[in-house]
Amino acid sequence: MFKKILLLALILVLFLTWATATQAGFGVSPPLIQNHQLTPGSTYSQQIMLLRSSTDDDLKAEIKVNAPDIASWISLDKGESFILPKGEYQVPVVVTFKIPKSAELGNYTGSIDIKVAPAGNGAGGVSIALGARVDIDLALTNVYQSDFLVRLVSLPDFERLGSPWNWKIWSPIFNRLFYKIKVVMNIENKGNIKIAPSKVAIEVWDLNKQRMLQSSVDKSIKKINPFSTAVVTAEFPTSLPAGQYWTKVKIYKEQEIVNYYEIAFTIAEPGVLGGNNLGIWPYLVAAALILIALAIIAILIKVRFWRFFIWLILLPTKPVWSAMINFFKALNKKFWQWIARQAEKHKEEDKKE
Amino acid sequence: MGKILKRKIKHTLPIIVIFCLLNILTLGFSFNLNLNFVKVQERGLVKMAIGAQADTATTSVIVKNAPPAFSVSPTEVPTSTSTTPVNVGGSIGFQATGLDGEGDDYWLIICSTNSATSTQPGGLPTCGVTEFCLSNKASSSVSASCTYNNVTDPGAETQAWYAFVCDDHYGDPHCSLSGQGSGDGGSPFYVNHAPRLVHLYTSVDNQDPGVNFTFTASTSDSDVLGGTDHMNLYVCATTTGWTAGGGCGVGSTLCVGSSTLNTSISCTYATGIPRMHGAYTYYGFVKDWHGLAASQGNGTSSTYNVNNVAPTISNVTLNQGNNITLNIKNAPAVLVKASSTSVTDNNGCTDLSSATSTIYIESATSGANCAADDSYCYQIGTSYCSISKCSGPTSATAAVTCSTSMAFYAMPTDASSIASTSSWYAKIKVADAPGLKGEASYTVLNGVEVVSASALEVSELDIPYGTVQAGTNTGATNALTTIINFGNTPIDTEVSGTDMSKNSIGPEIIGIENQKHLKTAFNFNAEGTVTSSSTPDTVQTDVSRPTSAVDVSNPIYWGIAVPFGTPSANFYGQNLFTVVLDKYDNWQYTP
Repeated sequence: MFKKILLLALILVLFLTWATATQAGFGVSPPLIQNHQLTPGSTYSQQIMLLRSSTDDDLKAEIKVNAPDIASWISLDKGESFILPKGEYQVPVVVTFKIPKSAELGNYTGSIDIKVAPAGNGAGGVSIALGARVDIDLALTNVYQSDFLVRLVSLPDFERLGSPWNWKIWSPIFNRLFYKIKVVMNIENKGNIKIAPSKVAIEVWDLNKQRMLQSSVDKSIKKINPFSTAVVTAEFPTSLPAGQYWTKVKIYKEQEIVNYYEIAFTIAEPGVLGGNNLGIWPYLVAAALILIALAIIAILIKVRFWRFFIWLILLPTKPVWSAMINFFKALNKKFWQWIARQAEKHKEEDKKE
Repeated sequence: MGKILKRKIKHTLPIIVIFCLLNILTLGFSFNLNLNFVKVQERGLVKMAIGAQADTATTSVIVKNAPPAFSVSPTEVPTSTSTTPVNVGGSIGFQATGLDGEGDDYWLIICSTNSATSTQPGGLPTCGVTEFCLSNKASSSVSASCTYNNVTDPGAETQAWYAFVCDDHYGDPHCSLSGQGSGDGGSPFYVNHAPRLVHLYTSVDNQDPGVNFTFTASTSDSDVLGGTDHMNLYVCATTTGWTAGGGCGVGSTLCVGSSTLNTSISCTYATGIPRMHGAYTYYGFVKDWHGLAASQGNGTSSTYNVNNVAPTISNVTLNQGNNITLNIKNAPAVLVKASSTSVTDNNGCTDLSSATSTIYIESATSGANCAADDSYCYQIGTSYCSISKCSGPTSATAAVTCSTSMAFYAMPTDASSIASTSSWYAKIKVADAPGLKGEASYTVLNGVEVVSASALEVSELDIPYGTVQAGTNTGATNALTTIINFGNTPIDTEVSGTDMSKNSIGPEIIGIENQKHLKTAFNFNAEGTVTSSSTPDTVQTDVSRPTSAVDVSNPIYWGIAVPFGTPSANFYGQNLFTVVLDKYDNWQYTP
């Protein structure tokens, strides 16, 4: 019995040893770099992924650019030789093309050849190394094209502003600056000039989509470089209370709606979502406001503002004061008239005597 | 004498002057204060007369107590009218002033009939039939008032009343004739009768959360004087706490309605969102416009039914909007997720029960209803979909994520692919509680691309030429290498090699040009393509895109010539197999 088990174990070990000795697969994704919208002076980057089917060990990769006409345009972020780390089935390599301004229009082709070291060395003969070829197919043009693709749109939940930003003394300022609905867009520029959506419009509705609560437009979307994918944000100040809403998002290219989304989002009470992560900006704004207030007070003290302050306080009572002054003037006048009459009277009496 | 007289006069003159002044003062007081000296004198005369008649005749008279009389007519306080009646069970006051000839104290008593009597000895007056109220004893000519509490229903809308003032003359009390006042404050007073809540029901029922329900109460009210009574309906979530003055208990008001009719009254109520589907009990309370609660039916309960509404889903994303780069064969399959954070159920997110998803190539037959096929279509069951971010029944929103492992051979849609005009999409369906209602689905707006991956594996570790005698070649015997497609594109293979060195170090070599290859078996002497170290040769291996996990492969055959004079030894070299996209063939693209 023991012998049988030992034999089975031996067979198993042999099988496993045999299995690990097989060649591992290798490939590249994508196998083609293609761009027919490049313009002289532009830069274009493309990520290619080196793929392995087995990652038991590090593997050395060597890359050789085989594109004589454009070799000087091409750079690799990982250089021409690097290690594919153990455990990673996909290793990215970014190929960047910097097109000289003086480059002539036309088609350019070539390839990037990647080679990895063989998995083993035969007992005698020719070992096998694996490689992959990435074809390059470029065309330079002087025709400008603008196009973009919205890859992802999200509308993150957020909180109402908490203390001290919701203090009444300055909450309008902070609400305007920091209490906003944000539409986050992941946009790929598929053209060869900078571009952004011409505007993003939102309509906020109740959960039944029966009552529109807000309608806003943002036309100041940051532009994205050609051939790039970037995250841009449209912001919309709001005054909505905490609650759950539907938002209809329209993304425009010129006057045309190119994308339309309906997204649900939540405005929570302060602290419920762990804070709005406003960063240092509210503190800077608060500091600026305090400084402005102090500066105004200093100026008022300098110009003895209290005189104006008293004048301002007395201004509403001016009619009363005027009436009193006129009264005392009239009284004074009558008094002296009476004195004059008395003096005249005694004068006549003295004459009679 | 004259001097004496003159002196007397001089001495008495001040006394005379003082006397005269005192007289003038007295007369002045008497005239100004109207002092009646004459009456006193007359009384003296009467006494003198009695005394003078005592001996002439004797007469006698017994003067009977006279009842008091109203010096101020009785009136209602406050005044009741047809539009300001007193509620049944309510109170109404009466006020009057009595004057008694002998200054006796008196009571004000209000009776239902024209009959009131004083009782002996010194008892309280009583009504002939029904006493409404009796005042406290009041002094003559001082106002007296009493309140008729807990007014009983007279049946009619008015109740006549009769007021009497009755003195407390000892031994012979009397009541006045009745008084009924005049005008609005006079008899009768108006009585408001309680309405009745006959039936309470939901006239507009089975509504979605947030949509108006209508609660209706059938009522009755017999009062017509001053116009039919207007009705108020209070619909409360609880039966406790309602008062005619304050309405529903704190926080339990669903709606309040009013009506100029006395037969029916309604109010509308919209639930908040979310609201779980099902039946909800409510309680109705009615009062009339005089604030009198219904005598019957108040607190009646009924129910309204909130519909089960279908959940909604929107803004589905696939792989977070990023293109999908697959792993190659034998590597773990890439997990791809379809997700949405815009899932709502107005019955509350806790009502969401399950989700399913489809990830599919745009060109797949029947679109999202495609048959499962790892090349084109992934149907994801409920077990692989999770509902999250539901914070409880007070929240309508949630998120859903469905995930699947994408096979290495899934059809690519990028620029390298024959299917470059297509893209991959995702659709998610969410459903609420089983057996109730609904599902909603949404397709991702912009598709993403599955990126082409060209990959290969060579089954053999080396090219097994075996033993070849110097000066000969392998002839019709070929060494075989097997190219297996590990990616999701059709592939060709580019081959090149290095010189073989003796024992790997040389300096003796077998040049690479001594090796030949071909995709079919060949005779070294007649066929084969010479292998190069500098100019790789693309062998049209045409290995198709796999459509399953089964290996798809094609061979490359090899031959070698060992030049004459090559020393006997082991020679080692290395040939490079480079995968190349075969863009135009063998895509096996049949969505």
